[in-house]
Amino acid sequence: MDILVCVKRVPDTAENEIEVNSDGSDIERDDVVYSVNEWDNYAVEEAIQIRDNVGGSVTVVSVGDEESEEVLRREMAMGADNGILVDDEVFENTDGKGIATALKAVIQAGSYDLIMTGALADGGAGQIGGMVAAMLDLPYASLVNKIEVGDGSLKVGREIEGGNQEMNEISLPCVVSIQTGINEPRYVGIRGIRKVASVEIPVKSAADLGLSADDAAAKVTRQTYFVPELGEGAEILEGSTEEQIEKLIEILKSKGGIK
Amino acid sequence: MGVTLALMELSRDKEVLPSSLEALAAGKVIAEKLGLKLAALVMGSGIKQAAESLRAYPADEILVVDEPLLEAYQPELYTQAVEQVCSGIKPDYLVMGETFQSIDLAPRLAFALDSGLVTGCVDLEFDSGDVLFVKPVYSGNVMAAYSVEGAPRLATFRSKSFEAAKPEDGAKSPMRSLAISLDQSSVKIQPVEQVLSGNGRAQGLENAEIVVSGGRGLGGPEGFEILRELADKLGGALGASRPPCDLGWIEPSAQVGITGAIVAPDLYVAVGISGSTQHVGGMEGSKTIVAINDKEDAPIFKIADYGVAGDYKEVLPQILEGLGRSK
Repeated sequence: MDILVCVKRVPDTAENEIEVNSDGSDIERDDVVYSVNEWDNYAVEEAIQIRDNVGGSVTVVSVGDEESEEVLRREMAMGADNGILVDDEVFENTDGKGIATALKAVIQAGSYDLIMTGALADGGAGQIGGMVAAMLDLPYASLVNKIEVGDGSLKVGREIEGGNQEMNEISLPCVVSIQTGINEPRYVGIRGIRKVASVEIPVKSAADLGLSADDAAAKVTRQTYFVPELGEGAEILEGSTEEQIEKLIEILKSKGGIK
Repeated sequence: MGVTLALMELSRDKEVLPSSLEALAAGKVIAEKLGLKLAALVMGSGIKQAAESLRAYPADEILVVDEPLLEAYQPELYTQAVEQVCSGIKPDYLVMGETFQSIDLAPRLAFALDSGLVTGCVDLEFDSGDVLFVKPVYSGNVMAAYSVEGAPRLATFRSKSFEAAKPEDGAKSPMRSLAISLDQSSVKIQPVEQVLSGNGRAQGLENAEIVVSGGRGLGGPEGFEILRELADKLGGALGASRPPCDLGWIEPSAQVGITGAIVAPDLYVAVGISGSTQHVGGMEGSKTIVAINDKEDAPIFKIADYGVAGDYKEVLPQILEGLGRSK
């Protein structure tokens, strides 16, 4: 099975305090540590496991700038066979639809049985998978937390409300968006990354994909960023451990615990 | 006169979901600000009662699509149905609650209707006749306001970010049935089985006055044992952030967060939870938040009211002992 996994380089919110710049037009990008979008690692892991079981290949693709190459290399160190970088300024300020259009062109230029995305990324939109599938008129399953490979089809588990799961039959080729918890993404060491350091990753422009600036035109435009009013933050209890515990018990009691 | 259309989602028992009534409230804000009509669209099979119940809510019109093929959510058929309704009604805005269904449906609709979509909105701003849709991004450290193009413009609203619309005494909004014709050959994904592993815990969580939740910081399933003791002692429900559910430390139905239960209890105790958007989006409406975490810079302390920077393995036994003494 030939699998394409769409991945994104995002600011690592576990490693950084994200701040807004002075005019609210962007976040402060200096000194920000980036990593692979968490959900995408689960998608790549799942793709690698499927390939190892049934044969085929795993290709990772990212729409981003040259810095996104490190993300592709990391996923190749995990075990992906090929990388493709789509780098063009027309995609710089586009929206989900623009990114989906770029991915659609990549998919059409290749031949894939299964296309995977992470269920969510830093913008929290969760719309790329659904849009790509709709554009290509392919079957789509969202929030997938289980995959069983069948003959010409997949049986996929979808997360639904109340901690429940819905099993679906979906024919190939198809698009699935992967939820965390479907597997345990493997660890990638420095050594693994070194191994793929010199592998060539093709870079595609919009023109290479037969796309124009119009194809990347956004329907959703971010007007501003701002910092939500969070109040003071927590009052961190002080004093000796005993004093802290005593204070905490008082709070628990007064706020409704123990009547 | 333009229209804001709010899509109502029904539970398994064919009752209108609270998140849909919240979306209706958000739709009402848009309609009032922009001088549009507000219509609620309810779809399904055998949904007379749900449709009738909606007439008590403040909407200019209740639109009903009662069609056997819409008995359960099927992505392609639901997309077709909404698309057809929109081609007749021509709404300026289409809003819905953020649910597992709309996470699947909304991107499909965005493409079918050639609309811009903002998912997981928590607020609205109005800027010279234009609506800005506001949502948290980058793990909730930052909010972003988006303008949207399209007819309709599409948005989903995070649970509990708007107060649900309330029925009005004596109100009886006009109701209209719409006929659509669905093409079954478009069906590409077929549900074969529902695995109901949830044990109703999620519902218990959503109604609880006190919730005690654990995160990855608990280190393993054992951590939830002492947490359960605390929850029992406080008379609260036991919850978790996403990672312990993913790791199998506790069942998935315990999950509090955007992809789990959305809670707003009087008291929320977060233990070993760092405070990702995924989790915070599901509990930030809590009246009082107490966080226990050994990492002093954990983001959870930013939204908590009280914090203890310490190891839960030392703190919890002492709390339990203290609570036991004072009882």
